[in-house]
Amino acid sequence: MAVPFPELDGDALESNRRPESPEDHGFNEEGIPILPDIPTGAHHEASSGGLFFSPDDTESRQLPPSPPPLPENTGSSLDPPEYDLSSEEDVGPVVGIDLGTTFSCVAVWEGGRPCVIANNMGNRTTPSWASFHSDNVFVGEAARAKASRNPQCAVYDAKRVIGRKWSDTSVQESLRLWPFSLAEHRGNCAFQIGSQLYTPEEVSAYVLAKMKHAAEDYLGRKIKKAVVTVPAYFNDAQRQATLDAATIADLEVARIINEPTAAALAYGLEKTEGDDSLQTLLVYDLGGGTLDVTILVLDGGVFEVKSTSGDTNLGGQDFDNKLVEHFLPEVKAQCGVDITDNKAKAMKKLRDACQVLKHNLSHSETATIEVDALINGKDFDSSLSREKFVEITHSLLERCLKPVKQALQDARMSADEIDEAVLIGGSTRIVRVQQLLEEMFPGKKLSKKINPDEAVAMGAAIQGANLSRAYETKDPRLVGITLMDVTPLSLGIELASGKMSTIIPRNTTIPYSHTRVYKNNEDYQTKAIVEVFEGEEKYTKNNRLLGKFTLPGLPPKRRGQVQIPISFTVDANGVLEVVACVSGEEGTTKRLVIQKDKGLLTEDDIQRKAKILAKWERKCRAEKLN
Amino acid sequence: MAANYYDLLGVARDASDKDIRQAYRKLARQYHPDVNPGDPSAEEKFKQINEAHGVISDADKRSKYDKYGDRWMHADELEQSEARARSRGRGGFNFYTGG
Repeated sequence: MAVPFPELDGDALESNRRPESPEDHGFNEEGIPILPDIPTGAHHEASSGGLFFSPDDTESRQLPPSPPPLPENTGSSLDPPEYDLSSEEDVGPVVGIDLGTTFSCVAVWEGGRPCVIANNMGNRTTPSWASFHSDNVFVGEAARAKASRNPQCAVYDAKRVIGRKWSDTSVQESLRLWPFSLAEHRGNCAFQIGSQLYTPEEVSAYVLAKMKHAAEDYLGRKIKKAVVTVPAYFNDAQRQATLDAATIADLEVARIINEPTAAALAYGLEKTEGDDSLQTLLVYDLGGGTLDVTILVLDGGVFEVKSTSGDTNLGGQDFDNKLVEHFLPEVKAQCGVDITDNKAKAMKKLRDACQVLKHNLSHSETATIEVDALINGKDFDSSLSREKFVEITHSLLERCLKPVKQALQDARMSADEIDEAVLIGGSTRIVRVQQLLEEMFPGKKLSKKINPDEAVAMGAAIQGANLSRAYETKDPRLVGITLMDVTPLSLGIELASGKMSTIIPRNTTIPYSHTRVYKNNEDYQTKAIVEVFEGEEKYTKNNRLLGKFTLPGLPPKRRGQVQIPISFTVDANGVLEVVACVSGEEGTTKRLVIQKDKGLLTEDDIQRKAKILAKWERKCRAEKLN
Repeated sequence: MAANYYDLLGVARDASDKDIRQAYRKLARQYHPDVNPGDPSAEEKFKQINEAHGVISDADKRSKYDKYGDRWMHADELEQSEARARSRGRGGFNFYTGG
């Protein structure tokens, strides 16, 4: 009954989306390509450490880290060490940070509930902006204020370019509308200010540091650890880059969690008490730059994610872009100048005005746009109706429901099985978006119970508290709260045919591990190259390469005669470990340390930037800046 | 051989979906790595429970598991190759059962 060795047809592979058994011998096998004859890598035997996407973060993942240098004492040493992290060192509370495209928010578990911390301006959310000047870097409100005078120095939208290639179409499409300049840096994107380049990781690090400051000021102690949120649909490079940003900001990431899951946690905490009924939620999170849709089941304190889908390039900023594009011809007609040519200040004014107009359309049928002295002293004014707004943002609105349908399909649910749709993210205030969801879920109330701007940070703070305390010392409200998330993208390897062989399908509850058996592809092949990919496309060339390694020591046998089991394990952090072994005479085992893309930051880059940031933090503290 | 999925979840072979769901969530809450930081055996247990639930909670997979046990994954291929063998005799009718 041996399955003929050559490829299974694509459909058969396709149909096998959820391989569940760890013992998968004899079937779904296909050769893995022979390795071009290159010297084998350094790692031979299974190295003891876990193999992660983030070599720099391996220490902090789970267990007590080797004691880092102690921070200067901030006076909190008098407090009894309330936070047991299975380590003697008191590292303080784990804060939750929602690092948003346009706004960020920080919260901490305090007095039995998540509590949003206002920044030094008294605001509960902080613009995710940084403004770079020769003498200082300004972040948040200060950066945005600087932007009116020096729009080229102020950057935002780092989240839209973080972990992305310069060649990414979404990057190229947005270039024209950003008032700042973006340049290619080792294949990735970097913000260009004068002759200086700043990576998105660095910009995000400044924002994270600012959020950390707010928390430190509020709590009166040093903060070392945080739960940081990312869009559920972020791929590994984007998650990795976010982790790097946190490292630069001197924050140890206790956990990266998905934004809609965090929001559900904030929402569910209120609901679960004394309520053991089963509830199915759909979290619709349309923020400044990304759309995430997550379906999850709340059962007692268990939050089980069923499926997640999204669009990493759809958010409020895109609606703003459409408005800017819509008004540009009118601006030219009224003011006689094309402001897209190097008129950054005018572009910024127009964009700000478009944003106000968009907000006003959430409560009015029509709204006006007025910009005093837009360019050359000339004013610009116009107006827009909701109907017209829907017309010009048509292409975006069409994309708003796609991930909802996908998530329902993946969860094998119909719209009427959803008990409540929870709206998160500022852009869910757009009237038409709400209408679309009401049509999708007829007769259901859209829940706006939780603050759409703060829910994610609150959820992160809940998870932070959950992770930081030993079971016995846990806040009674947190006991039993268990978050079970899923892998957003399928993970697999490349077959000799160039096809993707999925080992862990998307929307698999993690932690999870699975093994599939492959065979040698050529007679007397002695090495196999294992290339690991993420994505949903049939051919790996359309998916994203996460890393690769070589498995030497294959016993010289004819094609299809050597069995090579390959195991994928994803831990609760969503970190993948790949182990391949060959049971030949020599019995070689090989684990994969997935190397980061060469284009992304190196360890040295991170350390160097971290030093710059630490210096900046001290300066800000000393001079009371930012 | 892996432990029986029903035993892993602590449910009877004829357990209802609701029983399975409840058993799974109860065990998940008990063994989830977040609840047992630094305990690899709990994580291992969680993965097994997770795997068992993935099969038993899906009607199609469950029936295959009931029929083929540990080799349930191969149910399609077994049926397929049987079908192929049959169809070859009849002249190339391409039979395929979904998964």
